[in-house]
Formats: sequence, C-alpha cells, structure tokens
Amino acid sequence: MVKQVRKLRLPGELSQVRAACEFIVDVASDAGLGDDGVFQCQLSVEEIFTNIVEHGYGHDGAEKSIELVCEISDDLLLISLIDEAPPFNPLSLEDPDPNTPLWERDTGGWGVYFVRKYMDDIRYKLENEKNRLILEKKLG
Amino acid sequence: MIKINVSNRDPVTLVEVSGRVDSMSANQFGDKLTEQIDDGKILLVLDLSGVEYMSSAGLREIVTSLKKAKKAQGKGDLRLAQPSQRVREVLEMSGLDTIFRIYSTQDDAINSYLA
Repeated sequence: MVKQVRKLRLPGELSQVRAACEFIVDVASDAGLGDDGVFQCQLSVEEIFTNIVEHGYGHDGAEKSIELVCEISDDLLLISLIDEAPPFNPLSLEDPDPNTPLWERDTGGWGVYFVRKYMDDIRYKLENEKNRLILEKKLG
Repeated sequence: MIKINVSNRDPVTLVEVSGRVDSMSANQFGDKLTEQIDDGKILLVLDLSGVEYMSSAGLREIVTSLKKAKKAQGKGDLRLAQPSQRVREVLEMSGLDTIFRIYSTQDDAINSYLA
C-alpha cells in the first residue's frame, strides 16, 4: 500500500538536474534508504534526467517539463520520470560492454547501464503520449 | 560546483579536482583536461580524492581525455589517483578500472611516470 506520494515538476533543462537530485535524496532518505541506496537513486535519476534533456528534448526543453513522481510503500520506492519528448524506450538500447577496449569504446550508453545495475527493476510505459520510466528500489 | 587545481610536478602535470562531477559540471572538468593536453602537458595525474560523486558524464570526459592524451605524440597518459569508494565503484562497473592506471596515493601516481 502506498504510504506517501511526492511530486516535482521541473523544466527540461540541464540546469535543473541538481534540483532533481536534491529532491530524490530527500525522498530516498525519508523512505529509509541508507547512504548507498540514496546515492544509487540519486545517480539513476541524474542519468535519466540528463538523457531526457540531451536526447529527448535535444537541449531545447525549457518550455517542456520533466516530472518526478515518487511513491513510497512499506517495502518499495517507485520513482517515475515522465517527459513529453517523442516516444522512446531507453530500455530498448543494448547495454555497453565493460570489457570493450579503450579505442573501441563509444562514450554513450553508460547512464542507463548504471540505472539497470543500481535499481531492482526498471520499466517503460507510454502513457497519454508521455514517456514514463519507472525505477523500482526495494526498501529494507 | 567543482574546483580544479592544476600544478606542475615536472614532468608530470597534476590536476586535482574536488566537488561533484555530474552532467552540469562535467564539461568544465573535461575542458580543463583538454586545455592541458592541447598545451602539450600529456603526462597527467588526475587526483580524484576530493570528488564525492561522479556520474557517466564525468566518466565520458576522462575517457575522452585519456584517448586524447595517448594520441598526443603517442606517449601521453592520464593516470588516476585516490578515487573515493563511490567513484571507484562506477569506474569498476564500466570496466574503466582495467583501462586506467589507478594509484592509491598522489605520490605513487606521479612517481609512476618517473620509473
């Protein structure tokens, strides 16, 4: 059962990424996560927020929004990032390979890779023509 | 934000960074590294002891700088010193701990060029 819902809507600009991170740090701490869990939520939100700003909105998202919706229940924290960029499922991307040698390395793709490692589950939905990425972190 | 201090430890250039290297500050961080390499300072030590947080945006900059340093005259390098546990974790997850030479002290990293 959801005990608490907290929301924040921010302009889709890189200058807002710290506000998003500060919000998530507060929520994750209040949800009862320890330092590691709070860090993992923060980094995951930064990675997704940045991807939306850079790729979804193409650095032109000042008039568009990214909404964070957090639902805290007894054993779960759900963090949704909702944007109005063209439909895109970041989970459709293939993971980069950590064993790739330096000269063959592409610099992209690591953000979503970290999110997959740090979250217990990650799901994508297209809802009301908006992208919704749901990050799931177990509590306790 | 971040603070970056560059000092000469002939023949090595030491770049000490502190603060938070995220998608907002990574460019500033990368530009400072690029500036050194473009200036011919290609034996670099990056001291990360003051960096409490680094996301993929920061990793992208150090990988780009490493490639640039290695290409420069074919003998440059960017070596890392004293990454915090959090930074070490993201380096390990992305496999960069096997690509960068990482030292537990600043002196060890500087001296590695003198050996």
